[in-house]
Amino acid sequence: MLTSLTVFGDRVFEDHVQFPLRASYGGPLLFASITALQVFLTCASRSLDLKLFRWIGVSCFCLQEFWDGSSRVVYYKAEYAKMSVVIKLNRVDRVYRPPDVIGGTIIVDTPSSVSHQGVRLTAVGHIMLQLSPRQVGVFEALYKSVKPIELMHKVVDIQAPGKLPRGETEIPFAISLETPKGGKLFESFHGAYINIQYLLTAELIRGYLQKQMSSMIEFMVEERNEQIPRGLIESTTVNFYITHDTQKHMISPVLRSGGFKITGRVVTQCSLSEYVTGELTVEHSCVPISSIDLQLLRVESVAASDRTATETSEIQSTQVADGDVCRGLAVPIYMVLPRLLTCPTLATGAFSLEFELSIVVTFEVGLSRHALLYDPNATKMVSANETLPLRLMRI
Amino acid sequence: MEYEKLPMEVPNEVPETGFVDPLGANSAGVLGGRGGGGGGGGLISNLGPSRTVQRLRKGLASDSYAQAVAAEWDSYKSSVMQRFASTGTITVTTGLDILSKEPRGHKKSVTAVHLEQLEDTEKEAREGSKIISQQEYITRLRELNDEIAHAWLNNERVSALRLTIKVAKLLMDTSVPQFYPTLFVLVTDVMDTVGNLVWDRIKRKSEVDDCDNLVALLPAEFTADDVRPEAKETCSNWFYKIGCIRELLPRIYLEIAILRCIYFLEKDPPVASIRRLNLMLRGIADPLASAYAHLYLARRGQVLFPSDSGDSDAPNSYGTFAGFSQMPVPSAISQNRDYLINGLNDYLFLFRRVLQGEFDKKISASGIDRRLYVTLVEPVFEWIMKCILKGANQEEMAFIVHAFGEPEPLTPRRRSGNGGQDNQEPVSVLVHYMLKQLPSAYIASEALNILKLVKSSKDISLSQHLNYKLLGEKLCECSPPRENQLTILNEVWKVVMTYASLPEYITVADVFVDYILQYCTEVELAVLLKDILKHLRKSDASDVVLMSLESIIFKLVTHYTDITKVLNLVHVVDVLDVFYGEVRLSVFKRILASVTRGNQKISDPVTRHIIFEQGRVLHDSLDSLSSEDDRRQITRLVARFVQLVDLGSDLEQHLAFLVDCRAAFGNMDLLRETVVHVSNRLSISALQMAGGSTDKETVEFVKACVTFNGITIPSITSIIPRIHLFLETAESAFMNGLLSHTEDLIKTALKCLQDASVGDGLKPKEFEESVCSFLLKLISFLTLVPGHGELGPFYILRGILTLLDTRTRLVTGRGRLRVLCGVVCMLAAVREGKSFHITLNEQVDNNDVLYFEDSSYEEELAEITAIVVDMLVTCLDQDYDKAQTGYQYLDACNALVTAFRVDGDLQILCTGLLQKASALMIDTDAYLQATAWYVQRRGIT
Repeated sequence: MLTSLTVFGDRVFEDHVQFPLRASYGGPLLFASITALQVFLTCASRSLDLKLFRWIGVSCFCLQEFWDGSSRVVYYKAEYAKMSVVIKLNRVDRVYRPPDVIGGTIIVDTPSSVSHQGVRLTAVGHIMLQLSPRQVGVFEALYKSVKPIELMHKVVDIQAPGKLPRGETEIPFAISLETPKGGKLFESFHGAYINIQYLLTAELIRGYLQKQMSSMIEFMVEERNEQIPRGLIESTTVNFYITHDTQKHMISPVLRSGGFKITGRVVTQCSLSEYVTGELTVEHSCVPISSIDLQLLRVESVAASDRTATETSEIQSTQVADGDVCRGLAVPIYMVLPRLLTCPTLATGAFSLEFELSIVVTFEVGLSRHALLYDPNATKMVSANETLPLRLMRI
Repeated sequence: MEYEKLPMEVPNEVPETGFVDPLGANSAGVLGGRGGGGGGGGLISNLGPSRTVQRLRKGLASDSYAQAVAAEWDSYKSSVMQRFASTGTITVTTGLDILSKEPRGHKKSVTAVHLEQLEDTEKEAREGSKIISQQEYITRLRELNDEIAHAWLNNERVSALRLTIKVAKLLMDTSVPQFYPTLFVLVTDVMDTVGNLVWDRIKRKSEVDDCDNLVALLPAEFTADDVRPEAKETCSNWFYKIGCIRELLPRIYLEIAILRCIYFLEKDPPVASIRRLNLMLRGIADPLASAYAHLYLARRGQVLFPSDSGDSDAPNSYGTFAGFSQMPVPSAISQNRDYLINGLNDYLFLFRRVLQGEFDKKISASGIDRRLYVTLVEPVFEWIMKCILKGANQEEMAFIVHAFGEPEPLTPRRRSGNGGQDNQEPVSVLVHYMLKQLPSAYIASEALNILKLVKSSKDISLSQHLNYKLLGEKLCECSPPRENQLTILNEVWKVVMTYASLPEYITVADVFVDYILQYCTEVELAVLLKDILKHLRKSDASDVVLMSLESIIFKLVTHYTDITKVLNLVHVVDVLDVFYGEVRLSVFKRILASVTRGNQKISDPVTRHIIFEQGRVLHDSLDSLSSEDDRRQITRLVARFVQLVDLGSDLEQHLAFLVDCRAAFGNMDLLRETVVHVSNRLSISALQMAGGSTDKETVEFVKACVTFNGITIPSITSIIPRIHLFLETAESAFMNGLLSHTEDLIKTALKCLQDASVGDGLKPKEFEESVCSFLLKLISFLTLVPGHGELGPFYILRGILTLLDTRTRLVTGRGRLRVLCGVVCMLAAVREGKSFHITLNEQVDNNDVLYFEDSSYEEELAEITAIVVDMLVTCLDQDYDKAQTGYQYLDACNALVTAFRVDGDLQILCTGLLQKASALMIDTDAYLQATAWYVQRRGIT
């Protein structure tokens, strides 16, 4: 039985206020300090009624419990039973394809009944563009920020003004994802300079003086699979060959004199849900090969006023051959496409998003350490590469 | 904005209400469980599957088939560990330092990082790389294991994965090839555990929802349709995560480790995935790494196919991989073999390059030679072949033999380029393990084909003779078709006889001796032995060779039960001459043992001579250092041989042989005894042959025998057998009518006793017992032996009595009484006057006949009887043992009552004895009662 409780400090529900808490609980005293979101209680009694915390407005659970000599010391992690709003979507992966309906619930948890002036749900989609400082210069990058392009903005009022009871309230909602007329909902994408992001915000509208409660969650938008006959894709296999003659950069003289030839083919048009496939064969190479890697490159271009800033960055590198592989034996090319980091190839007026596949062959040339340290091109000299455009599609 | 988990990451859905993930908890127990000792050799076993791991495997998620496969591997694994156990140091390049915790530069370009690593290997020479012992390495692995467990327990599955990748990366380092098999076992243990953890977790996810409420248990044989979408999501996340690993080898290993989870996503066996992995393995250029990666795929792949997936109707097209040049595998081959065959075939392409010496530079850099390097790969071949041939049917076996035996149509498509592989003979190590795994019935039926295969495989990966040996063993297990039997032998021998190395040659010969014994005639055996001999003459026989030769001889001896037959085979004797040293002794022992076992008379002079010589060699090998067991064994064998020798009617010759034996085996008492026994047997058979009456010739021969014994016996060390043998000889001499000899022999025996010290190596009690029984035997013999003309009819008996008197300690107590009672009975018998022995020889008379109606004889008999009775009574008074005394009284009483008509003094004596006895003993004693009753019956009260 809780006999008395004194809380020093005036506002229990204030963030960032540290205050002592003293409770007389059937006899032994209980000291607590609440820091931000946590309450640590040192409790000398054998059993601690959680009602205590409910009474002071914190919900808690045991963090650690041990005996210290004669008394039990309990550290409770307590959280404010402050009002919380959480959005829960009905899909675990949060992926929606227009015209799917985003369904879910808004969960409002309040320590006391609360009145509001409506629950509002906002779905927004933006393309955030940024200029690469390397391409346009630092200042330009800072000042000439490109305005975000809004893809969607939808506001739905879920509930009329009213009162929410104490405890947890679940408010179901459904909001349809429609392709805007004449436009297109691009897929969610997080790149270095281009970000396509969709957010869902739930808001509990309250009076001017009261704190606004809201919560935000990101959801993914994917395009629906296009129905393209399989035969069309198979035909987009590209044959490539890498020799000492095809290299645009300078290569080590040893490589040039000995020569090498690596051939292969890659399916350059591939579905995002599948893999990059193909094969390559080392026909001959006088210098032993140390590694063959596939690099997935992302090419982001942003148009700024009159020029286009293009930036290529590597997303993923996958090794297909380790060491000096057998000559004449076809090695499969197989690369998993990283989710989130890839999306269908797209090009609009303001920006374009493309992908490339680069096959990098590194040779085992005994370079001196000196050369590696002082010649910046040294590493490049012992490798050969071939870059192929890759068309990613949602099929 | 709140922190949102990316879908890529494994969401940790475990509600934080103090709930402990049971799998996590379990895994902590598993991986954190350090063995108690932790020292020395315990390290490896600690890393191995502890009991907890076993429990985990049997846990909620893993089905029984997977367990069976795992158990099979567990046993194989330890054999691999043992085989390649070594204690050396490993150079760890800093680039591969597994303990560096920070994730390595993601921001740098991958090429740069990669080149950095390359540079590191160069640096190592200069900057002093870390050199750690294998023990330390293992300890580090264990620490890493713990870290993974810890991370998993704390729901940090991503960091657990990261650590696992680090562990997998260790397998990229093949700089210490000898350690690689051990490393492989250790690392794959970790991989397996992680694979199982993932499997268990996804399965659990499929069974319970976010709030830890049970939704529905998955059936034991579930399909992808039964799995909850949340679990599928997690599962494909894992595959995505692993697919993004940059390095090829760790990516392959991890994918293999979790490949089983694909059943949560797809219904059919992941044929395409396995095929792809198989092809991806082509990208690994290091022969050792590639081999073991194949092994891991084979191992984990087993779980993926139901054990009897003979003809599942999964699609046979492989999508984009259809264009790869691979072996055309007929549809009859089940899918769980298809990928193994293709994988092995791919690997052979690489392996042949090793055999041709393309990697020699690298191999020698690591400090071993090509031959040793190749042996490191052996377990891979063994295991994969085992998997391929497990439960294969006839058709499949035929294909497999064809595929690996005649590789021309199977090598990958050749294009222009260097390193052409014109040598397309079957790889011998592969042939070896194929032979090992094929059932012998199949090998027998296809013997000629397989023979061709063995013949053409002669690379350095495995010495060809081992293949021939294995083939021979298999053929012995199951008979090849009759018409081929000789052809096979000829074909094999054409190759084998050209072998320059004697050990190799003899190993094969050893096996094929068996083959010939089973399927061929003695003609072939003779040819083979001749060939063996020819080879033996060419070079010196080492110990290994001798061991094989020994086994050959042993096979012959076991096959022919009759040793004469073996020794009469052409060349066997010559082969025996080759032996020397210890092996020679063991071979001779074996031959002698087979003689003993055969238990047949040896009459063939050649055999007798050979074995005699062998016995002599064995005898001569014994010295003061030989063990007691050895000595006893050899003595027994030789003695038994001497007993078995039979020369028929040529007794003289036989005696001569015995003389030889005595001369040759001077150090064996038992043998001398045997010789004496045999010699006695000879003299008796001489008597038999003469038809009961001795002619002059027989007498001469018997005299010779007796003299032989007379010389032989004294050299026997222990006294008891000596006196017995004297007596035995005396008996045989007596039967042949040689009275003076008999007397002499008995006197000698008594003299022996006279001189004997009590004990003589035996315990006093036993010794007394033996002496006592000897005396009784002698006394009974005396009923037959006539007296001496001058010294009186009882002078031998008197001698015995004197002996008893002078050597009182020789026989004491009840024994002495028994002897005296015996004498009493003997005298009674003599008095009776009837010759109750039927003698063989009618020329010998006994006392009864000699002194018929002679009053002095009667007087002497009475006198000596009186003396004996007197002695008996004296003897009775000497003993102090109360319990024994009663019996002694009864003994004496019985003897007296039986022997004599009881009246007068004797009656008083007897009743006195009986009374004394009854005073000392309990009334109910059976002996007492019987004696009392008997005495009563004889009319004494």
